[in-house]
Amino acid sequence: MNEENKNIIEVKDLEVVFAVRSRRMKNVNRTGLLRAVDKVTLDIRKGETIAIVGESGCGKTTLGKAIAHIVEPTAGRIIFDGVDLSQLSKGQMQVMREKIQLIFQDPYESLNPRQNIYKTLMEPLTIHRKGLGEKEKKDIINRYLEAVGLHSMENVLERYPHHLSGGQRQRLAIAAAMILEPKVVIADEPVSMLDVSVRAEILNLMLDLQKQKDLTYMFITHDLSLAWVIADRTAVFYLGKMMEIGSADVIIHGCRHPYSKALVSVIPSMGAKDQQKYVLFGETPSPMNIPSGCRFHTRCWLYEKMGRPEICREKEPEYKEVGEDHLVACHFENESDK
Amino acid sequence: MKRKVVIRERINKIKDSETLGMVWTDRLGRAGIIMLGAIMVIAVFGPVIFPFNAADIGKTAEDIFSPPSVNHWLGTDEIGRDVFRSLLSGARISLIVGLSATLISISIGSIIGLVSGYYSGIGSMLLMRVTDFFLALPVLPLIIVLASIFGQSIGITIMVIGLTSWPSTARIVRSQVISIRERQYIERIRSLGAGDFRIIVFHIFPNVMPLIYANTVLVIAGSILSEATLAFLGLGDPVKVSWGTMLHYAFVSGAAGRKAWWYLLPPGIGILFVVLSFTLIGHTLDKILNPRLREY
Amino acid sequence: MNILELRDLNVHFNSHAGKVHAVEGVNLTLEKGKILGIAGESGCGKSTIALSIPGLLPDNGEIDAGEIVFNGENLITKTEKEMEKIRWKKISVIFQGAMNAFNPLKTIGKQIVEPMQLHDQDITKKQAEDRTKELLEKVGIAGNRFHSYPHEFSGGMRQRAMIAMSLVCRPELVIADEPVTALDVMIQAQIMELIRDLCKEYSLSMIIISHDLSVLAELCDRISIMYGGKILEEGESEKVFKNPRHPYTEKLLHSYPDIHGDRAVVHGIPGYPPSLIKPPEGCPFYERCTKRTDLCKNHDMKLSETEPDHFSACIFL
Repeated sequence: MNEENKNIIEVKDLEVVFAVRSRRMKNVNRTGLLRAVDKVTLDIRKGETIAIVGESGCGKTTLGKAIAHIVEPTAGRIIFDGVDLSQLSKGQMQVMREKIQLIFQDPYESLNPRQNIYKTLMEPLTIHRKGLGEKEKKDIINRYLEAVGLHSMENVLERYPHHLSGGQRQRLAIAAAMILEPKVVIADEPVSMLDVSVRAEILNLMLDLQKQKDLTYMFITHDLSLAWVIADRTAVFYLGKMMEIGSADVIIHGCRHPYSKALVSVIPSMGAKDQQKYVLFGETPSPMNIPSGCRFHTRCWLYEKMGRPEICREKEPEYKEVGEDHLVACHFENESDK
Repeated sequence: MKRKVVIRERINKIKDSETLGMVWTDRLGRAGIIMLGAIMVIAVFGPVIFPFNAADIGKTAEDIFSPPSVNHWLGTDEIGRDVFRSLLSGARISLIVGLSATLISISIGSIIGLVSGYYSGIGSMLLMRVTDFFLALPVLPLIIVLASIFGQSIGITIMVIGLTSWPSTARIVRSQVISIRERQYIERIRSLGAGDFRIIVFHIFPNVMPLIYANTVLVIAGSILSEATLAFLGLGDPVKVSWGTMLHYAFVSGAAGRKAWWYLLPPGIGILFVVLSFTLIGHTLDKILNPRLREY
Repeated sequence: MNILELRDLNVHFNSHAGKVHAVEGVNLTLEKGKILGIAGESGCGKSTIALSIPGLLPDNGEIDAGEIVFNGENLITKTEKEMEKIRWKKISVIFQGAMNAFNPLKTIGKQIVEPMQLHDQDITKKQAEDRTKELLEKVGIAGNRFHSYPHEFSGGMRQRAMIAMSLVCRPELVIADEPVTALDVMIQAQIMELIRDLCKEYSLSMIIISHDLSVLAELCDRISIMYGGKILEEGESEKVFKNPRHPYTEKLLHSYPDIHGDRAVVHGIPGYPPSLIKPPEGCPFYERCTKRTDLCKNHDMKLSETEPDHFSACIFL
């Protein structure tokens, strides 16, 4: 019973599959299946920051959207605070929406250019806080403007997005997400489009708000080192499936999956030029053509090193517990340390 | 008192409007605005200062088709009426028809464009087929048929022009809506739990508005020209004389043979002037708003 | 032997908001066969330098002072016709967002052959095609992809094709503006390896412009740190990274997480870059600098040597 209370979100065998018309010249009218999220099981614990890391095409954004229910899962269940989201009616889902909020990547695209700050922050309240009066809503808006550090701008409420810098827009997006007091915030690459020197303020703001409001974060990023800095746990994804999950520190300094190792090895480090780099060959296969067996075997350096064992081509690896809270899906993870 | 304040605020808003300022900065746009201003003054005040009296006809043979004189600044027409005063009242009629037809056209076009652009599926496809149908409707036969049933009047003219010109607006709006609905801020608003109505009205529509403005101005130009054409062909309202109707009567009564340039030229130039002014403004608006739409 | 020297370069743009002083008093040197990195955040003027060198500034841009000395010759004094002989044959450019710079209606192969034929009238069609296929293989694309269209290539492959195109006339100097931004980390690593290998094989001299210091740390022999249109620090990259001597460089380095170091949340630099329309006198970093004093406002921004081959424009060395 206590186990259940620890997790605020439980993702069970989640699948998000899109039917897409193949773009290749030869298969002009062939419909293919794009497996964006391919049977993912994952628990998100109350109050933690979990980073979902992977390259483009690994399904991390789709996973975030599926949990926030702006993309319909094709199969599997998402259980939020004990409630199975797929069983909810439209009205009930509406209520749930306040509790899971999203912060998007592009600060220039995620705000309606024709809405000023006042309207942007008022909107969530208009939809979900119908009982409150004008003044109460205005108070809430001002409180959140202060919380994200935008209150000192002149005439801030009348300003439009094009008056704001990238960092300021992201602050506004954070305020708009927090204003409904959600329990879970899914942030999809919230700082990757900002200048490096601006990232810290946004990250620190997010961490402060987390402490104040006891939030849970799902932080989606392609940047492993950023995940290391901000997250408690990191999950590494490839082609729609989780390859490894563990504490953020272990994933950087003690990961076991050959893909994780490769990602960590190519993190550029200022100065230290003597690391072993596993630069993978080729590109990530299309999610419409997922390789058989272990989907990573086509690019896996360990597969080559082990002499191309058949099992990697035939059988998808199960999750092995290799340490405290550390799971790896690889047939030969024990060999990955050389 | 409050109402005055609200109106004043609205006027100030328009004055401060960046877009208007930008149209003014553009040379062609400025020309269009000045021309439009002149036309508005003429149309609003002209017939008040120089009212047209249909009964004031010529009494002698010299009064018919007489060239410009002190009494009649633009001469007289085939019944001896003052062309100048006809011109002024004709301005009003031409503008009223043009603007009313545009109102119908833009309203229908925008709503259908919004709805068919936002939704995808059978409903949207049906709407597109309806749009195609109206696009194919031939204007002349339609007005002839309607006029023969209901008689010629500006109401019929307005309706015909409105009903046949909305499809192009609908198409333009629709393609813009399709591109907007995929934007990230729409996704965000959806994740907040906004319903379709809210998204269309508060998010998509305001972002399509600039396009609709530019299109409206051009549709006004087109409608005025359409009205002039239809009236010239004799299909307009015989009583409420617009510039097109004036041209019609001029031709029909043989003004060309009589070399009565004072009767033929003014309405023609008037039409040219009005259409040009709206076209200049409309094209300038398009120039300004379109790249900025991308910037957004 | 220096293949390129920028001396006191000043470039500005005329915009309706006013005169934008994009580059002020920039001095740079690049030795033959080496890779120079120009680092800086958005709006610091680094892309302007990339455009100025081959004379590709837009109509509203002007070089008002300084010299661009390439192989001993000042490029600023050259006519357009003379520059045409230099562009692509001696100096080529990989532009920012190059991945999207291909014409979607022509095959990749045809687009790479084009500059070859433009700059070398004697080359036959077959020779050009063969050389292109060779180059494609060199950058890691199968030769038979010559006949593929840009939309059939992934972003990483298009970037490789762009690199191939820049090498088509065997230039001496290649200027790459953000060559790996917007690519996945693994592809970034691949392209960086590729760039390193090509530079060695063809003895290229290169200028890499990026906002990403970590990318430059991997590739460059020398580095220049730009801010507000001016160079704040420059020198041998190992020395600059190990021992930064300007507060901006220091702070910028601390903005990157170091997995070999402390896990504390990264630090940033509060504030915003200065406007280039009314650039401040003295050090452009004054507003955001924690070590500033009044002297900084009138500083002439001359670079002084702090250790061999390591220069800083900061008053406090």
